[in-house]
Amino acid sequence: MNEQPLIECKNLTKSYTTGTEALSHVSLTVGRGKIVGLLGPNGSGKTTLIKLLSGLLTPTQGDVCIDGHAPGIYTKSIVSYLPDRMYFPKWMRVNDILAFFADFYPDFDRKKALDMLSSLGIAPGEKIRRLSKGTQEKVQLVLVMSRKAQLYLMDEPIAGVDPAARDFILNTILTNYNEEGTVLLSTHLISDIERVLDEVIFLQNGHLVRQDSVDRIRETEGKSVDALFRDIFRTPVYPGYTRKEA
Amino acid sequence: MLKLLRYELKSLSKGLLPIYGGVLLVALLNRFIFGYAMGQNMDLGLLSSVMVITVFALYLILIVGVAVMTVIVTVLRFYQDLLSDGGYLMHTLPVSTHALLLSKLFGAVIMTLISLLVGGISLIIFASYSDLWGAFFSQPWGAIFREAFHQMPSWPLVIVELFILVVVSLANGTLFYYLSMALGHLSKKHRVLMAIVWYLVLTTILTFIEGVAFAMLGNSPLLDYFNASINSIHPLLLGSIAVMMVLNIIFYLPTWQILKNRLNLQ
Repeated sequence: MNEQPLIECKNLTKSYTTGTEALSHVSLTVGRGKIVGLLGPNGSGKTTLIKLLSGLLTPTQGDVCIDGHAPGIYTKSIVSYLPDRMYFPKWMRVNDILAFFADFYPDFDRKKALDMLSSLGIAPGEKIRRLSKGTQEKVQLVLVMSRKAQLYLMDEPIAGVDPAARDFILNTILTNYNEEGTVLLSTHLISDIERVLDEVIFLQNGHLVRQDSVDRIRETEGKSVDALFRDIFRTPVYPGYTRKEA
Repeated sequence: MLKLLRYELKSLSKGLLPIYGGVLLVALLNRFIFGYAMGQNMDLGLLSSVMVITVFALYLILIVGVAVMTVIVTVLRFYQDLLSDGGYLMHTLPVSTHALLLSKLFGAVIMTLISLLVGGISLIIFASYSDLWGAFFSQPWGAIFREAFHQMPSWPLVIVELFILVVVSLANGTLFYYLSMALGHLSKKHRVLMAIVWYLVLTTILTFIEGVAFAMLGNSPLLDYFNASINSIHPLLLGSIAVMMVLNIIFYLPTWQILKNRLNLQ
């Protein structure tokens, strides 16, 4: 296996013209063949980091490298990105988006995608916008997982989804990803996802708080990642009035 | 880029071919209705008159519709595919930003040319209710061409230059919309509104500059040169093409920069 880290961020910073710093001097490396959880509360910079990795944002400061390259045409060809929204052109049928992916991504396995879709009962001739939101999300997931990519980036893949669908998504990811590659998924629903993770990265207010393997966390902290998350990101609860004072 | 262009034309066609087909059909309908009306020597009953007027009005509406829809669909495609949710798909493809922009631009220009062609054909279909073709073919074309070559030997080149000027001007208009949308994208909120604001601001600035330029041109000896002979239409056309291309580059580069480095999809 290639010894060079797959992802390398050095002093990575992203700030907007409004002054907000979404990501602040983050330095980390991620190896290959791992499933990594990017964890943090809302607004911690998870989506910003994923967008920087996928090339949808440019850094304000610092560097980001994927397989030794800055985000560009090469990295886009080895990264398979699942955003938290639907990106289908409105005129397409399922067949059209399959042909589209086959056209632009040499690592796209069309037969595998068709098999996955048929096991979900999704007809390839369907107009995508006629499908329900949940079904569209599944189509998007199938497209992403049918690529033999080196890095799978998933932004909140299980948010807003019922528990059965969550299991489906996690099992699909586990059984279908390229084992030489790495999966980086962001979420704040940790208890569901903990069982599949090798490594976790904690972000808070744009800063890297902790990066560790799940095993080491369980050994050194003696608690689950979910419990550790609650400890790190605990917010004091407003005490309110007791019945006596009311 | 060509792959993207293919998808772009496919996407635009799905939106526009229905109305193009519609206008051709209505033109055909008009041709027959007017032909019938002519046959009756315009002495029609009330019902027939209403029918003629309705069908004609429908044609006018559709012709305007072709022009309006072509602009709307090309602008909408750019917005949806590059600046809205579709951007998550397009900007993560392993292609350059140039390829994304140029495929959109060429697709829009090609579609606009098709819309002009469709408009022209519909007019010909419509007008053929009269003895248009008979009149057309009975002209002394041989003598006309010989005279044209005598007066201006290079006149076919003028046609070519005119066509290039039309294409470059269409690209200019399209790039102007793209630039306004890209500038609107720089704002955090109300991006569509800001795009419209930028469009108005830039139009005002451009009109002002054009006014100044024409005033300067009118006062210079250049005008006498242009009036000198009919052959001076070449420098005029070539000059206009050059100016348009410069403007195209001026509109293209900031748009490309914004899409490449200042993209911020919500």
